[in-house]
Amino acid sequence: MPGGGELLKTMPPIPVVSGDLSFNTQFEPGQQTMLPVIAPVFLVPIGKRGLIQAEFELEAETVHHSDAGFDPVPVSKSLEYAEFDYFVNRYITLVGGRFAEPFDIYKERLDARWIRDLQEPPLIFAFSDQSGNGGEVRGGVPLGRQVDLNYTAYFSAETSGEIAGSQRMMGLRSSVFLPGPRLEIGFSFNHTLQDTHATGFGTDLTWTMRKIPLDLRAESLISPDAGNGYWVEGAWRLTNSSLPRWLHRSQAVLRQEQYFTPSKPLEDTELPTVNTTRVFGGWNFYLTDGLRISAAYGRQFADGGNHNLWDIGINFRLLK
Amino acid sequence: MRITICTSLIFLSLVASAKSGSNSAGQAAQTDAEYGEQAYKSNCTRCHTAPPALSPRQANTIMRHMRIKANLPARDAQAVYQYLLQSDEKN
Repeated sequence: MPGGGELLKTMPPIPVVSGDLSFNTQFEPGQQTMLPVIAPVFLVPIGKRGLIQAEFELEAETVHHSDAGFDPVPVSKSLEYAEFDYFVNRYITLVGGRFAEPFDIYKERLDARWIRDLQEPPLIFAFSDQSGNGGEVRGGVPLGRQVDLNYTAYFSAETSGEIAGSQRMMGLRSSVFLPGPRLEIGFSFNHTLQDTHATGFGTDLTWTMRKIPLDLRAESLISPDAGNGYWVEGAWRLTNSSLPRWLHRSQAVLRQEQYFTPSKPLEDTELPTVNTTRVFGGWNFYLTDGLRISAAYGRQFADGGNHNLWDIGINFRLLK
Repeated sequence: MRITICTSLIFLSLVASAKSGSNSAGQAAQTDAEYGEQAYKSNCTRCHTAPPALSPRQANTIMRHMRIKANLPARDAQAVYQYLLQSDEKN
């Protein structure tokens, strides 16, 4: 096992541009939504221990109603993160600037469209889909050979602005990762220090199984202010040798999720306004490791009425 | 209902991981290359597909990025970095 001294001192790093381009279209009763997204990521190493990284997101959601034609097409711009990271030592990293909120795992790890297994994000993602302007302390600490402890604590100040606004909030996430079985279990906490003063607790689980080609992911949200919910998703890589060879680059996905509203729903939130259950089944096919086409069907059961959702799209990962 | 499902999933996962962990602990000491491959498969492939071929200097930058994104321990970041370079040399 490597000694793990100073990080990557062998070759000096250079700036890298990454990110993704994607186009998705979703069909619901009476309307079609088209969503082209450009999300470049810029990585600029600073010295031996620093990194500046930023991700912008540009999207133009186009909605067509079968009875009323096209809505106006607003171009939405957002700064997901723009931060300076300083690796203090092997176990502590300081982050300053604008950062993606590390509540559960979806925002930090699975939000990129070339990574997410289903293009439609989970219902409870609306709670954690935000960025903060402030600072973080974070790191990964090996506790022996078979257990890693991850931690992140953060504080964000209130900032106005359409592209890079943030709320005054604080929170933490901690997880235990077992590299052997490739299992991670995490716990999150977030408290908003303004307006609603909402508090949320979250748990997350990812498990990449060794014996069978199945990735299991799940998250939950428990909040007296924002409501309760969960999603569980399984992605099966069709690598079995008995299957046709062309299928080996594909993946079948299933997701079940539920959301339950609080007694007094929050204002200005994209969380559902009624109790909602959704089931999704999807299919991803990797033309190359960086180019994927996808299709999914979902059924939503809600107090306001049930309906179908269809989603097809293409995602391209950029790395230069 | 939802709490029961989540609790059951976590319990089943813990049982499975404990069994697998005890098996791994008994294995002989790993080489750097083996550890790098294990670190890559444990940390990287659970979220995304393989990256394109990277130069050593690009890989260095990407690993700094992943130390933040995935809270990768420094030990594993170094091991994955070496693994990526060796994989590219083989290809």
